[in-house]
Amino acid sequence: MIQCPHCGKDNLPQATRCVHCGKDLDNLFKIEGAEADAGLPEEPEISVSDLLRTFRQEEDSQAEEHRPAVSSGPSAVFASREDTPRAETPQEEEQAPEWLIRIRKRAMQEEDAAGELSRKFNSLEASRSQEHQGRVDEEFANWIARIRENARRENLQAAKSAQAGSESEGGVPEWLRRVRELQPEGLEENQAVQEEPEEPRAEEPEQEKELPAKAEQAQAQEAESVVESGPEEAIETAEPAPDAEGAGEPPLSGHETGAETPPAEEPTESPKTPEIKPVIEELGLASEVSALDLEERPASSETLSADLLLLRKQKESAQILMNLIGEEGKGLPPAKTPREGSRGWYRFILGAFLLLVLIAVIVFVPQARPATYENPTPAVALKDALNALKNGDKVLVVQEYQAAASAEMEQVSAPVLRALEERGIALQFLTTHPNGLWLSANLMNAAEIPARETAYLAGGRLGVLTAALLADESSAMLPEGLESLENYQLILLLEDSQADIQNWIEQAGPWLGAGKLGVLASSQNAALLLPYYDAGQLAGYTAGALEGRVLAAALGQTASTGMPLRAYQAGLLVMIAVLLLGIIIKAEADSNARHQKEPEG
Amino acid sequence: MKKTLPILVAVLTAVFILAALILRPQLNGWLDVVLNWAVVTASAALLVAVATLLLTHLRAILRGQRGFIYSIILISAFLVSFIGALVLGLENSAYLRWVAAVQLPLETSLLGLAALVMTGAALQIFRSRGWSLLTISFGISALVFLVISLGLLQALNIPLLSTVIAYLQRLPLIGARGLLIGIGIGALLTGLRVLFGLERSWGE
Repeated sequence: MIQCPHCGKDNLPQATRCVHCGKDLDNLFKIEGAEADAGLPEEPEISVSDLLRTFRQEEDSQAEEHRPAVSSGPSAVFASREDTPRAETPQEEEQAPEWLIRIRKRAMQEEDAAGELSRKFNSLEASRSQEHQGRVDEEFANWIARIRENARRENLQAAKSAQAGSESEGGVPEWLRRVRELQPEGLEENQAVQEEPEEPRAEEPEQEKELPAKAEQAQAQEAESVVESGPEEAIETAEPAPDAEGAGEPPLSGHETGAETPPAEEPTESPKTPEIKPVIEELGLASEVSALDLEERPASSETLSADLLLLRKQKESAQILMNLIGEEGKGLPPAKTPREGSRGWYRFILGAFLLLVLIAVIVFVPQARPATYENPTPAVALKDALNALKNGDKVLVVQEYQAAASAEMEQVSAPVLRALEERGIALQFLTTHPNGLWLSANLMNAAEIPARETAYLAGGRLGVLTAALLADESSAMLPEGLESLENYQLILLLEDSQADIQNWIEQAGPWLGAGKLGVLASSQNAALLLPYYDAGQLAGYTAGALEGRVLAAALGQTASTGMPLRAYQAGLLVMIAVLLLGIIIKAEADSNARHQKEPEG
Repeated sequence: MKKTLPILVAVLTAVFILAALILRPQLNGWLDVVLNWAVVTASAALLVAVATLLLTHLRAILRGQRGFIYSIILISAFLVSFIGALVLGLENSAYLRWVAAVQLPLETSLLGLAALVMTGAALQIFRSRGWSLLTISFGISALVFLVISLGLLQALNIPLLSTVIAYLQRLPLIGARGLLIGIGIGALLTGLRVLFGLERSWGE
């Protein structure tokens, strides 16, 4: 217990203020002779890194017996604590306060705990730093190895890309530019030869023409100097890190790298070369460069880079590519057909004779008489189907031919329509082509029947299917006035297209009764209609003007005579003549060839 | 979803059309609706095609591309036909005659040109291909059927000749039937592919 100096009452030893009078008890803890500033010297604020550095310095200086007197680290602090009593004189020791004397005594009796701790810490740190240093060295070696590998790959890729021929500035391919650098003189000659017959190209020939010879020589020299340092520069740019690694290593000479450069050219090398060659050596590229030099070094004294030498090796491929590029956009050359000798008069007479025969046939030969001509079976079947119609029966006429075939189709269908009209059969016109709207008027005029409206069925194939299935359902798709297809006795198709015929047969035919579809077609459809007739899907058909004339005669109508049938026959004759002419020409050419071979044999 | 939805629509439509064709009287109303949709969609696609054609030719005119004069002719003909039909109506006889007067010579000359090309090909076939089984058989069959098509031999009215001609005229039946069977099998397979969702020509 302590007594308060103010009230004299007892207080707890750890109290800093009297519990009775409330005054401070600090004076009780004041030590006589001890000033406020005379305590432990203030330790400087130090970071952990400084602390570690200091420990390492101590580790390094363990060989030395004495430590440096001046130090700012904690060890110095401890050292100063230990050294201070020793340095004090006995007078000072007498003047020292009692607490300090006790501490000193205690320190003399016991080992310095702080010094022991720092020694252990230093030894631990030293062992750790050795392991860490080993790991760092290993990682650094791996890193350098990776960089070397990357640099090697980039170098190989650069060589491949040079071969691939990427476009450089001005539209000139890089490979072409390098080839030009490789052979400036030969290329000038080639260009002069190539540019004479051709139009001047966009940019490259003009630029090359403008370049004077001196400038090209200077360019070539510059290219050589660049070529000498080219790969090394590329490697240097690709690998910045080895500078740190190889900074302390001495530069290797050209002999060490394997690149045997003549002494006369050494001054032309770029100043970077001595610095870069060790890097190449380290990257493992020196063997490749030396191999290239040994294999590809030209006989002349000019020095060339590795990629240029590779291109030179592929000179023929580059020339082929140049030719291909030159031929680009010119189109395919005409087929080379052997030309026969000049026997024009012979052919002229033959051609003129054929034409005369043709004209004679058209003008003088009478047309085939329908009475003496017997129609094929499908046409006869159609005639029977038409004759079976009675007065008042409904016939739907579907008009689906193009304008080009209208002359032939009108010649075929007009007599039939006229015969039906005369027999009192109700005709209704329908078309699925817009053409039918304006061609139907011509057909009605040709058939000499009263004009009537032609209904338009939209939707093509779907429209036909709808008409076949839903005509009695008043569908919005169906034109007004069109009845169910089953109500018509016959659906007469006027067709010039196989697709349209198939459309009606396949989409509408299955839903109609047998024998409802009859076809009046142009002549080229005859062959493809025959299977449908044989299968019973058609009541009959007539194809072509000639059969149409016979059918008209069979229906008691006057067959319309006119140019279409004549022109058709003339066209057929021309085709026959041309085929014969082709056979004759071929035979003549073979004969000539045989005669030419005989003397040689 | 982008690929699945069209397949789903195509499969469902195909199944429905098949069902409607089988159960026709009961599903006629629905079939009419679906067919209407199809026709309207096809018409809209046609309009898109026309607009694309016009835009392409307009672009060619504005850029002064090579042959832009044909683009001018095309657009002019389109505008005259379109405005004429709007003003006069499709049933106007003058308008119909005008269109027929333009279209008839154009199509006829195009067909004549095709005939000339065929003639040239017939002349060249022996020179370019030489003598082979194909060319010889082609030449013989072409000559025979061209002569038959002339009708002059039939006019002679010789019974034996007429029999031979009738026999020859049925020969194309073989080729035509083979063609049609091939077309039918192709259509069937395409239908099955659509039904099973394998036909994806719209999305790729």
